[in-house]
Amino acid sequence: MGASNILELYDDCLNYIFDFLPSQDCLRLAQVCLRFRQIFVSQCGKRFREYTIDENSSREELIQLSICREVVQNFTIDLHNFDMSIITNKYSCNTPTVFFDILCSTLAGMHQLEHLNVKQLKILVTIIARPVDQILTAVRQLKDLRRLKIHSIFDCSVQRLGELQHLEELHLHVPQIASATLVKCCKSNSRLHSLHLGYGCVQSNLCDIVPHCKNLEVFKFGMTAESSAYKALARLPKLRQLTHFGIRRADSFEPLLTSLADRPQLLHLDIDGGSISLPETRQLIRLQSLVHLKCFCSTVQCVVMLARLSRLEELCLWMTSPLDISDALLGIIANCEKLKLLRLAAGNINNDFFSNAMKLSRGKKIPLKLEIPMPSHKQTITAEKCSNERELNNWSAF
Amino acid sequence: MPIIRLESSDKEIFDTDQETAKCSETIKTALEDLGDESDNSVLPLPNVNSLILKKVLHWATYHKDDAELAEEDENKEKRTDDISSWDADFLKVDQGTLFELILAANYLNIQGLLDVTCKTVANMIKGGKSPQEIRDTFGITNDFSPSEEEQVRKENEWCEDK
Repeated sequence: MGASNILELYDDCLNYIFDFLPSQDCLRLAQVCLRFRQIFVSQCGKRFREYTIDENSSREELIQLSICREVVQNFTIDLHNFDMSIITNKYSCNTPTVFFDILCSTLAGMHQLEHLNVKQLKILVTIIARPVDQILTAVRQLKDLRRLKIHSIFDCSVQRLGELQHLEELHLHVPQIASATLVKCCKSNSRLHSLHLGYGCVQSNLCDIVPHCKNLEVFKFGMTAESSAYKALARLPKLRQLTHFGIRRADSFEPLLTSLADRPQLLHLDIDGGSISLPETRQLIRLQSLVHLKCFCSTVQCVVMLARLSRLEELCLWMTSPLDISDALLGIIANCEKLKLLRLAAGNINNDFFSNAMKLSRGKKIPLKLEIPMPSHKQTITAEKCSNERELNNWSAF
Repeated sequence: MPIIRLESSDKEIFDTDQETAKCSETIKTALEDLGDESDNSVLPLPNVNSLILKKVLHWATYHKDDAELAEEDENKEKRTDDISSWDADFLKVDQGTLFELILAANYLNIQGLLDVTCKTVANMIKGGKSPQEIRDTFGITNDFSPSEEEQVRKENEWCEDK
């Protein structure tokens, strides 16, 4: 054993020396040589595995982040941090474009990045051109980047989405996205299995992406369009889970449901907005593969028909009329043997409903959980015991 | 009082009293393992040469009656300006000896000596030295590639006051 140079010390000795230094000096050490840089990353890195760059990010932290960029796995950028007022006042930087360039070069070195989240929830005053596009270009080479979320309440260019290739999950909550951009993105990210689009973010051009989404299993979107625009979704070969939220036209899902029923593979369907009509319900009950359904109904007849979905495990209903649907629900409990959860967010039932439901579920292997607004809020029924929980129902909870 | 016999890597034997030797957790554990058989047997320390072992024993003899070190708060920045004048004089040595003392203190598990030697090195780094000044102080070669060098330049620009 002998040591004539500091670099011949073991890592634990160097770590120990680092422990005695204020963070400013540690930063300078990290800029001395590769060995010191490794020590710094091994000490400081775990703080940056999951990191959000926002108004709370100090100057020093940003340098530390740059040094530790290779260990970042989960990264969130709040673009508000790049607003002129913040860059000049907080970071005393008069060159926002340089500031943003460094962010981009830091991003490009995040070789372990798996999840990127970009937010713009306040008005952004800046001379930085197309910030989101610049971010996308910076991360295009990162092979581990599988999940991307972009949430902007203002129009922003996401044209460079097509430069990415390894995405498996994409959330786009932006006011609108050009059809060509989305098509290019779906084409280049052939492994995409989950796509969430904000309401109205795509319009009638939705069908354009379908041929390029061979691996899409989960699709969540919302738009008002002609019924023909929705129908194309039935051609998604691996679709398992479909969610539509927000306003839609009456009867607009009939062609889609008809086509989906021709090849029953859908497990999970949420039609979160707009009561299902009788023609829609007729098609819906042909989806014999469904295990989870959430929908709005306005007539007793439609609820009665849902009992045909014999594989259902979870059913969440919202009645838009004050009709008594006790008998219809009992029919569902009787027919759907695997039902584990029946949730009624709004709707009327009679006083005997719970005792009747208990009788029906007695002897069932799987305990049934009932969540009904009035009169006794929440009940869990099993063969032996019945419990009451006073808790308000929350439609958005499921 | 029993005499402990320690053998350095270059086969020199040092006789010392038990109290001094037990400043080292490593030696203490070894003696406990040996039990009564430790009488007159020689404990080899193949990782420490005679020059360093002599210094370590010198330090330990002076400090053998020190109270146990109090546990410091993990999050608190550790002080480096609390080196006693005896230790400061003791550590007026060339860098090579200082680093060997660190390695020996680490191997022999002598917390007090490790603390004071590492603090001494920390003090050589402290004081707003630039990376180049740190390299000059310790004779370190800049081994960054041109692109890594560029990255270092950039990360400093994050927040440079203009």
